[in-house]
Amino acid sequence: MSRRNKKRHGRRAGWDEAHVRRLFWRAGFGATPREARHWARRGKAATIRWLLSGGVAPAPRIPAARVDGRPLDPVNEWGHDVLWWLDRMVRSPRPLQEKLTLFWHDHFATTDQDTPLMLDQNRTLRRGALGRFPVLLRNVTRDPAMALHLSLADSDPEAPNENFARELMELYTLGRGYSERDIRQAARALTGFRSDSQDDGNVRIFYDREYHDSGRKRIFRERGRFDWQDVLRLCVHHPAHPTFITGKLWEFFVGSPPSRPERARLASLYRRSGYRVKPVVGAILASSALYRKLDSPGMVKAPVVFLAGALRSCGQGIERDNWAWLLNGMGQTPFRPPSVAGWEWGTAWLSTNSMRVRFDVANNLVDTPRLQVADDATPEGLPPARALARARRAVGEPWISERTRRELLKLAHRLLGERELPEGEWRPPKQQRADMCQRVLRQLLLCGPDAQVH
Amino acid sequence: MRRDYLGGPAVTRRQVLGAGLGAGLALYTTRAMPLTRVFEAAAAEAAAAPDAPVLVSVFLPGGVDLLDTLVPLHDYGRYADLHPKLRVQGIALPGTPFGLHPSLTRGAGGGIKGLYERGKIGFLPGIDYANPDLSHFHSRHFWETGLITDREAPGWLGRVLDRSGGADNPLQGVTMGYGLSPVMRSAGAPVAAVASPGDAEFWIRDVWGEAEAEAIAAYGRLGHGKGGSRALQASRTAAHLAKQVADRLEPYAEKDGVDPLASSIAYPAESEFGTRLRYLAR
Repeated sequence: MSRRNKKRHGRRAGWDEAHVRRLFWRAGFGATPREARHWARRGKAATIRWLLSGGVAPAPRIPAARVDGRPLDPVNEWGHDVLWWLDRMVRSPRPLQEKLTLFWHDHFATTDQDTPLMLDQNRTLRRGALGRFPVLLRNVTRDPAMALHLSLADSDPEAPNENFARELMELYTLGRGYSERDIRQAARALTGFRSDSQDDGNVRIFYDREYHDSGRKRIFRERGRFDWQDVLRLCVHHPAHPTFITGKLWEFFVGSPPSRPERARLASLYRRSGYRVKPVVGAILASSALYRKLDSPGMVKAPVVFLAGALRSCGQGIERDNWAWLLNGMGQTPFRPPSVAGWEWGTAWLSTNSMRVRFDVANNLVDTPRLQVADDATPEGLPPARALARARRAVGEPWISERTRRELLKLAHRLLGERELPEGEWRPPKQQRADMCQRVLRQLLLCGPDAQVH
Repeated sequence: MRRDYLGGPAVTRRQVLGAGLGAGLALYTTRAMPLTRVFEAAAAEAAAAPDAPVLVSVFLPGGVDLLDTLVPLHDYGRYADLHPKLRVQGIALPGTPFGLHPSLTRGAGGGIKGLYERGKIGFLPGIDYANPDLSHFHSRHFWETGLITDREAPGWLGRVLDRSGGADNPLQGVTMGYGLSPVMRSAGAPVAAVASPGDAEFWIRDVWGEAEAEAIAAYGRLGHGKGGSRALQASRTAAHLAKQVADRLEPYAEKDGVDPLASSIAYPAESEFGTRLRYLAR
């Protein structure tokens, strides 16, 4: 069948480059023009399958991070841990897995811990990102950074520390549907973990049965000599858990809470699949809610998504440590969430302060090797429309609104056009104006209001 | 005052400037304002009441034991029973049944106690709510909003502004920091956050003169336009206001080594808190 016939039958009508871009921004860190073309041809199901499980794909070829001519040293150099993760986001062949690692980092927000421990936790989150949630939960519970952060390690059986028990229920599994008493009893059951600081600075978490309160406990109206594994099991099997966790996943990708039927459908799917994340995420990515209003994107790009996406779309690797400062200024430093509740997402990212920093991010981007406009590099005499097209190609063909397109064309027209010069005014020569026009077009394409949403 | 978005090692103003970060003034408004008259309105209000007092609210989130801070000397026996290991010998506060924790009597001029004796400070003991919720977030939320609720709500200072503040002056309530303090989150009244005035100016690398000016003006214009999703509208508003802020703060920018905001009083130099208070004083 010819391509025209396929379109008439409507089979590919609901899937084009705009859909791919939307999906890739939500499920990852944007799509390059080549990726957009490739996955538009392959269709929705194949695209989602690739995002979920990986495989052969035309991912951008971007060089590994090098700062000051050297590879990164995440453990010792300040900011290099952030750059290390940013580098993964930019170059990963599994963008959805990387995006979910970010989700889990926010979900199990751990902060103020030594870098080697945070990097280990990051690996744990990545390994479990698309797997069975109970396994991820178990691994996070035993993770040293978490065990130290929420005082799970060395919680005294005589006076158990409630921090982990509280956040386990309030933030990690349930949201509501538990009492203060459940927390206290769970804290008892969670005793037994101890920490051991080693000579090389590492911390080991181990379980010491002598340190565990083995008495009878009552949690969620169940009774028994519960230990930490029982507590996790009880939380996951609590009726509030499936809707809580699937609702949170939905909101992360779609940007607004799920409707009642959607909520019920996802919770049921999650339970039936054995508490697996992959089928739930697959259902969310296939949902029509994700593709609403392709010409008016409804979610704000979080700072790391904005930056990693811009670098990825331009094919630019990491070659400066400014990104660590700039992420800080935009309000999102990976490995340092503001509290156990993670970051505040959505329009909270956009204050005039953070917009000013996003402008500076663009300043830095246009200074990178891929986007730099060398003096005399721009063809003189390009009409405004061609100048804009050239700039758009360089920055990865981002979506822009009609209004932005008109405004940028007017700007190019003003800068490139000849005009009468009043007495005493001097204007740079045509070549220089062409170069500067190209620079500002790239700048505005990267930091204008349209570039902040996806 | 929240340090939420800072993270990392403490960042001094010099480092921020050195890293070329934009900061300046963040405006939070929930509706369209006569944006071009924003700072005129603030100046007008200040001019109309030049001696109007400025309320500085310092919110110190974290645990403090009320009974150890204001020791109930009139009921010391019961206090001692409740705090067998941690009890403190309160230093009597004249004219009240309370005693102050000894560390609050130290410092210049007799510390907090000295300020009280000179009539500069007052205490409101015993503000709390029944059935304490031990969730850190719930509890803090109650203190920030003055309401017992787990829903989103404006902060108590925000509600003060909604009720008695103006509609056009975002400088009527200012958070010193990178994000808006939830205490000041308002339903409608515009408020602002200041990190470091003078850092807001826009500039573009390798571009100058007419090209730079036109480009920055175009950036401001991209902030116009109606319609689109809430996210897009918020993005446009932020861009437009950022440009406005830069324009208005331009006179306060440190230029050629001269800092127009330099103060005559020495504030603790390397302290973030001290720096914020210094800017606030201006």
